Amino acid sequence: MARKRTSALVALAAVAALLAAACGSSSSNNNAGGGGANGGSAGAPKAGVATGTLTAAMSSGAIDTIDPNRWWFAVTWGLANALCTTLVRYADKPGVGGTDIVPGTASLPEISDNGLLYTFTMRPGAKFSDGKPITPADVKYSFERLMNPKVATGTGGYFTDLIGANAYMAGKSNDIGGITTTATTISFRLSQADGAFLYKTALPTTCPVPVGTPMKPIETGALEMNYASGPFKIASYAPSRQLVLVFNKNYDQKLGVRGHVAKIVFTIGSQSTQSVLQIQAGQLDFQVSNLATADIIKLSQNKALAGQVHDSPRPSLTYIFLNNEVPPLNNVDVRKAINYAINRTAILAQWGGPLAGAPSDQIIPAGQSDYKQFNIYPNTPDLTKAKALMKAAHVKLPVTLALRTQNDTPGFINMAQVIQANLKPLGINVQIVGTPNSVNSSFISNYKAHVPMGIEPWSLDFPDGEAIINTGLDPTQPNAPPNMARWGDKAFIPAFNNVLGLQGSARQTAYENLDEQVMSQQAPYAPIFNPKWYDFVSKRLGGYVYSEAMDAINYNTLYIK
Amino acid sequence: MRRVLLRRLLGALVQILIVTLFAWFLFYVIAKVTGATPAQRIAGKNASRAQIELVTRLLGLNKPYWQQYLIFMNHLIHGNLGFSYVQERPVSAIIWPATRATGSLVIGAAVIWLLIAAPIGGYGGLRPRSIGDVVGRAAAIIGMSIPVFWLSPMMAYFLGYQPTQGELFGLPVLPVGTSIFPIQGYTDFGTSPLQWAYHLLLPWITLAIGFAAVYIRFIRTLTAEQLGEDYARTARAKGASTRRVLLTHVGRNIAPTITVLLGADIATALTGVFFVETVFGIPGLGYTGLSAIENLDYPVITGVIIVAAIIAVLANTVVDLLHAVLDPRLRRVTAA
Repeated sequence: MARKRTSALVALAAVAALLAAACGSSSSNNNAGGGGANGGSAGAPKAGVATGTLTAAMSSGAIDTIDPNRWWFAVTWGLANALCTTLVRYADKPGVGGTDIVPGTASLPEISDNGLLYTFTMRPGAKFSDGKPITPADVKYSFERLMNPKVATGTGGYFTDLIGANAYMAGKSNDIGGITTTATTISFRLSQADGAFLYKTALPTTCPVPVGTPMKPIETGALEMNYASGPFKIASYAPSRQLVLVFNKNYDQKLGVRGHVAKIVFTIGSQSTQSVLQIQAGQLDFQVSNLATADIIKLSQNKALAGQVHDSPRPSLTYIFLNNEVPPLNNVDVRKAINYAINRTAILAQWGGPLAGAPSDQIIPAGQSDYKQFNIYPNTPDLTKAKALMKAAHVKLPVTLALRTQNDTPGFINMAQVIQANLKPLGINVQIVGTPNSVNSSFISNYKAHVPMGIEPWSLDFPDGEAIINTGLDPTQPNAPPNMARWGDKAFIPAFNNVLGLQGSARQTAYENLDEQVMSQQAPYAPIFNPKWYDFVSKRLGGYVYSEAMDAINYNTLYIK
Repeated sequence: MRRVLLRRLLGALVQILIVTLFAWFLFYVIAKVTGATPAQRIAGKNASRAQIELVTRLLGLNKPYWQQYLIFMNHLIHGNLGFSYVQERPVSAIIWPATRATGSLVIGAAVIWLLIAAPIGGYGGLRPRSIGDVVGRAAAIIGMSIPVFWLSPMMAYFLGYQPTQGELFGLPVLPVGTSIFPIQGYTDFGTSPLQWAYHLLLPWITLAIGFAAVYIRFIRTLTAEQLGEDYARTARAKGASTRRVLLTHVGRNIAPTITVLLGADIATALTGVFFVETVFGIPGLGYTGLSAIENLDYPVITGVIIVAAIIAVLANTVVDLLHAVLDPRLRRVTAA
């Protein structure tokens, strides 16, 4: 009997303790995520005053690298925007205003008349988070690090016009002769004019690191714990678990008023649907990874949540690449037939419909300064034209073609199934091959894999046609990893080379024309849609801005209401 | 008993050796014919030539296969599961916390499913076709029919989220802002035992429901069978109370069967609770394995497979030994 009572008491104590934990957790969660009344500052933020803690969540594979010269995935670009101040940077403004270049650690450069020399003067106040000043030598070293093959960044290729860059990247030189420094300036000398060079100096991978940083990837987060240059620095990083950013007190607000919260805690490995519930419950402030289609639809239908929902057009294209080296896709009529046969509206519906994007038949995303609408291919199938083109192609039918796509992000396999159904009437049997993104990307980027078709999303690294047309379809490099269509039409090489040296409106017009010519004459892609960025945030979150340049939430403008 | 113990432990050792040999063969021999060398895979997709050479040297991957296996086993025996070049941490530092999280989830759930199943199953066996038994069996069938990948988000929604909106199962009976269970998240036991239990309560219940349903049916059937045996009827005829017959006589006879089942289920659950871990954001073995696959982190994938296999072997060994302790007949047969 005594034992029975003891058990009952123990059970009672356990229940009481758990209730206490529940209450404690509830209050702490509310303070962390939803307790606007006592959780942080009230009203608009003041310069240099950072208060309160924001909580955020992301999926398990959202961070591919935490090395500041290797940022690649969109989520890490968002982090880079908070942790780094590059020579020049993008304005913290919503919409197209967010693609304006403003001074960063340096003033806007002086550009020589022939466009071959860019000279940046460092601004006073530019410091690492350890308090040491960022010098021109540090910036030069950072560019060398990002172009060093041992660090294996993805953006070194953007700087091949720098004198000495090719020899350096090939390991034939220890120095990039085209980058010179004085005590206060850094100059970049180009071998040919590059109309997008200013954008390239704002790439997140140009994030400054001190001279002497090892020339190998550093994935512990240590660099941004000690040498952050943005309004935030990393306080702790447990891969696949948690990332904590704290306000960088050594960031000089004279470089730009940024950073209004004391801490941002990211939980890594959260499921987006659960995160949405947490945001609604006031236990989380925002989710940085893509929301599930069902959640987007559900949230959009709830008018009470309208103030917490933000959607913005993204500088991005989701498309089918058509491998020009794999028969029958080496026949331009077959590629055009596919463009006529696919139902872009139905494919987009698998991604979330009009809430999640807009159909597109062009390479450059709608809304970009060098975009012009042409309406070359229809949004819904024109099977008469498609079948006529297939007949003209004289291809022996039926033919079976593999379509590779990622299977660890909802929507891709569903889109592939619609494409499979769309191409069946043409005599093309589509065999869907779904693998995790990491596996899929290694296959489709390898020219030796001879992947016939694949569905890929592509976000522009900077707001210029070069970042999608030249990068993804460089006809001089059909075997380059990003040229998944393996397109190498020599007739287009002069046009592709000429556009790179152009500036301003001439450049815009040239890209508009190139977009139209490539798609109407060659159709190496079957563009599907331009996705939207869709965010759902907590009620207490103020200062929401989607950075179009970074394709991510701008953490520097956030504050607690 | 000592001989039984020795023979079983030896058997477990052989099983672990076979499993590790299989894992080594999979990742170090077969991997070689799939396009990239094991060193390239281990060093990660962005590794430089120098890093690949370093991995080759450290793991002896330029040596004959038998030497590579010995080096692999030597590392394993010393608790060295390798190094994740993706996360720049030892694999053991990644897998040990994950194993703790999954262990917390499964062991806790096992306690709950036994606490649910024992009284309901025992009652059903004692009073077959009674209202209580019919209700218990119906609940068991429902519990078995609900897939855990559906149950997990439903539990999180109805018991985690809805109370925060002032509702319980759709009824507006709670004050807005009530938090009964967290929607997702995990706290390590070492950080706060109370928060650990609070965050695991809902996952425990979710995981326990399906297993409890199976155990209700097992315990009911076994109890009914044993109550029909001569020894149970004799005990009753001698005036033993129902409680005494159930706990002392029947309980002792069905315990070995339940133990075997429990061991197998715990081993299965430890390596298969991926859905529950994913929905509730528990950084366990399943989550770690999937995350490693997404990042092509081969050392962690290998580590997860080896640890999961070792857990399964050890769980079965413990069960066999417990079985021998609980059932003297097995001790004699095994020792003979």
